[in-house]
Amino acid sequence: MSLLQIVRRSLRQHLLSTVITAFSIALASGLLMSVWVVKEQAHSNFTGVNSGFDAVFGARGSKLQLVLNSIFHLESSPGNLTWDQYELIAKDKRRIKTAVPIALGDNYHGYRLVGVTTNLFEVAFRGDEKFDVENGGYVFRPDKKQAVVGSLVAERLDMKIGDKFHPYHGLIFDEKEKHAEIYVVTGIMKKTNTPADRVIWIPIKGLQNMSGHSVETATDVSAVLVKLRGTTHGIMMDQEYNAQGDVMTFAWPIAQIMSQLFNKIAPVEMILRCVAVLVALVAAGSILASIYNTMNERRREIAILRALGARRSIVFGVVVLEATGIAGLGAIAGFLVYFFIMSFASWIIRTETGIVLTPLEPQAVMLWAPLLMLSLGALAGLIPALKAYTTNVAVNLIPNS
Amino acid sequence: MLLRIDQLKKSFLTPEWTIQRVVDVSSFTMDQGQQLALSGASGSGKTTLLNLIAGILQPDEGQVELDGQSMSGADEANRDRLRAKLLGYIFQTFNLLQGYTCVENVLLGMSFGGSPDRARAAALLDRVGLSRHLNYYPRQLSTGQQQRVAVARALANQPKLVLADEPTGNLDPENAAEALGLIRETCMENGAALLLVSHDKDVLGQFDEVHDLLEINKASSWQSCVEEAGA
Repeated sequence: MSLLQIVRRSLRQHLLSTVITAFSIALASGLLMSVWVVKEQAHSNFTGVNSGFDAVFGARGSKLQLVLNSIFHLESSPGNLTWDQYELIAKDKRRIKTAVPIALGDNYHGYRLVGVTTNLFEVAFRGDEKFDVENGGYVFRPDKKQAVVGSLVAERLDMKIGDKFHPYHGLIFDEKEKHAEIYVVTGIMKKTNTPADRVIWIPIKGLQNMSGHSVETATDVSAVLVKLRGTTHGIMMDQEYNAQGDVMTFAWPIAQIMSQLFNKIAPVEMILRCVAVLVALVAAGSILASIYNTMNERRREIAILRALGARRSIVFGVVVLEATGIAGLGAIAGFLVYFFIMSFASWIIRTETGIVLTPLEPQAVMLWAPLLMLSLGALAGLIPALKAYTTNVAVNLIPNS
Repeated sequence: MLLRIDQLKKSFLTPEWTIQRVVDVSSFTMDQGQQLALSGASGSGKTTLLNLIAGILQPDEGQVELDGQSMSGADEANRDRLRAKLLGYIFQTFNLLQGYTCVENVLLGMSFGGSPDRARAAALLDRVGLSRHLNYYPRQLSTGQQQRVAVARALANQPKLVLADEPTGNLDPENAAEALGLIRETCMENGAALLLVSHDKDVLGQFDEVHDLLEINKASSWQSCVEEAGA
């Protein structure tokens, strides 16, 4: 019988502990891969989101809050700009290619209603790809109570063209805050895999003039999304509005601002990574414990193998290979755990942010995490292997010794 | 000459921290194919002597030479190699690996000294009357059948010498006689010499050549004297 056959037989002989230990390795490996992939993809998707815009104008305040609110449709608005301020921005044709005002303040079952002008649908957000509606629908008319529903909202709320709904006041769903207006769905937005998928787009005038909204702020906008004609203009406007001015905030560049968010949560990420590594170490410890605990009952078996001519190095190798085998089985099963965790994480992230993760995309961690588990498994096998190596053959050949 | 022992000595540390000599054999030899029994009571150093011959234990002094090769002078890896190649070992408690089938137990006997041959393993089990039990686990066999598997395993690697340590000690008289006959016959058929140690007079009576361990092992007679004095 070959060494591998002896190892396989030994794993089968201790099937229950093999399965349980491999499961703990699978959890550790799956967790490691998930934590790394979520971090990497969330970072790259949030900082590199194809929103179609280069910068955001908003009320004086935090750039990060402005970007989160207007691009990712998270957080509350830092304040409003007047319609005149929007027009001032829009008229700066030399530096600004497109300016799209948005207004926020209402929701439908927790999904935000964003008041916008129809020129949103002329903006290319990924190469030449523009925001558009699915076949059979059309973009709302600016003077009608009509809506274009983001693909994720349509999917989650089962909304179709022709459906009617009442908006609710505020960004958090409260049944008591129902507006009297009835909006009709005229189109479902084509899936963009951006935060635009998780909002309902309505005419900006409709949101500004919604019943119950303040008349004084009826012409205000929450932010102005802009596409610049060049990077130099961004630098100049940053100086003009942020350093010298004190009326508006100019959030640019969006990727750099989002990086600040990740810098802020870096310690949390670090802790998560440490926890994942600790789980991996604990799982390796479980290999050590499970094999080591069987060593007493296996001393006679090892003595018999030695009496049959097996060298010390062979019994040592059998135990190390056994530990590596358990880690290997766990590492393979770890991919199942990874896909399970990532399916759930992707669903949550898409629901909450509109950002789509791609768990099947090859990542370096998918190679190094299983290899790390294999190495830890082999290391964990060294102590019981040493015990096997030093087994006293003559003493242990006698039963019940 | 197959086996030559010269001035072999082995001592152990007792729990009372005194050194006790267990084996002290000045000279002992065996020829190829010879079948010989050693008689000796419990504690007379029988198992220790066999373990020294098998290279499982290292002597304090003296020589063990097997088929012209020094067992006692070799390093551990070479002793393992010689044991795997030249020796078969039958134990009183069979020492079968419980997680392996009969045929796998026999295959293990071939694994470390040569190349495993499933056909030969099956043939050996057939020879000991277990052709229908190849894939049985030891726990599914009677004690007599388990000892037959141990016999087949001991012969698996076509050894020059089979060591049998109280091979019938755990068997009833009928199975003991049958097992002993089988061991002697199969050793003869395979050209292996047999060195059997036992304290059972019925077993010893089956051998033409029986040596008293008390005469060979000076440490054994010393211990017996101590025991008698104690009694």
